[in-house]
Amino acid sequence: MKIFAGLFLLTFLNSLAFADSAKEFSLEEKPLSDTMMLSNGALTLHLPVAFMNGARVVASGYSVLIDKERHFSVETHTKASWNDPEIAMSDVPRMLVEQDFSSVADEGLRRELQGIHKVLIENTKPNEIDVIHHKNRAAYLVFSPQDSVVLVVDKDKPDAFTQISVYGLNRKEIEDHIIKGVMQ
Amino acid sequence: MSTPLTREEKESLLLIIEIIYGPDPTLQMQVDSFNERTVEVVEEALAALTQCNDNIKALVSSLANAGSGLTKGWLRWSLKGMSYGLKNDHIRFNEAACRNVIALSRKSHIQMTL
Repeated sequence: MKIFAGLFLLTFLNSLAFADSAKEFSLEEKPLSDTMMLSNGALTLHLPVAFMNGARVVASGYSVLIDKERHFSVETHTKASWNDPEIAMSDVPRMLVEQDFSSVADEGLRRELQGIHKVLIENTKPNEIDVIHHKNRAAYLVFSPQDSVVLVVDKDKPDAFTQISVYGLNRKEIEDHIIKGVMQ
Repeated sequence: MSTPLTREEKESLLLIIEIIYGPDPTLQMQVDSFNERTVEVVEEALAALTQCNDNIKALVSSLANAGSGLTKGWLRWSLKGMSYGLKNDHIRFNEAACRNVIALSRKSHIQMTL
């Protein structure tokens, strides 16, 4: 009985100590304006745009959902993520836009690349294809009014390329915001 | 107008999404928000993947046979009662290049439905 009384007293004192250190307060019911939202599916964090100016959000792959009609996803493909093929990953964007798979010895991989070409390039016709160079980087843009894709390579990173699949952005938005953004 | 997805259909849809994308905690947490439009977009992703991935082609064929063939909306019909088969097939895809690139091109479309 004494043990239970002791435990009760200890718990009570703990709760007093907690009540002493943790202060409760209420938020103002004022809605935030000019925010960007970061979400992991379970929780959405609203952050003021001015507060985030210049901040880095670090993630291996992510999607940006601007509004119902405009969104894009970004991911970097590496040798490891492609099960270590014997090709230079940084040459993949060129192969796809030029439909030149002659350097790919693996028949299965060549078939896959042809399939990717069909889905990303053939199926989005009529489209416009451009290559934009800046310093060590090159961006291969396959633009179509609905589904566009930007494939980015960096001379310093031969074992990777980055895919940005864009939906609904016009050409000026892609050039001004996405391509200029990756070339910084 | 189609009926809302049942819990079982949503779970089946998550299994298919995870076959395409791998386990994705972000989507796992949004299962309750899966809807008819999500099914349509996943169906479009599968259709695109069949153009370069033989395993996906086999999966889609088997799912479509269980449903109503490859007419538009086939995936919704195939979702009914398919989760057991999918869980036990341990489907793995070796064609990582095709899967990763094509899947990404549809990812934000799926997220926009939630």
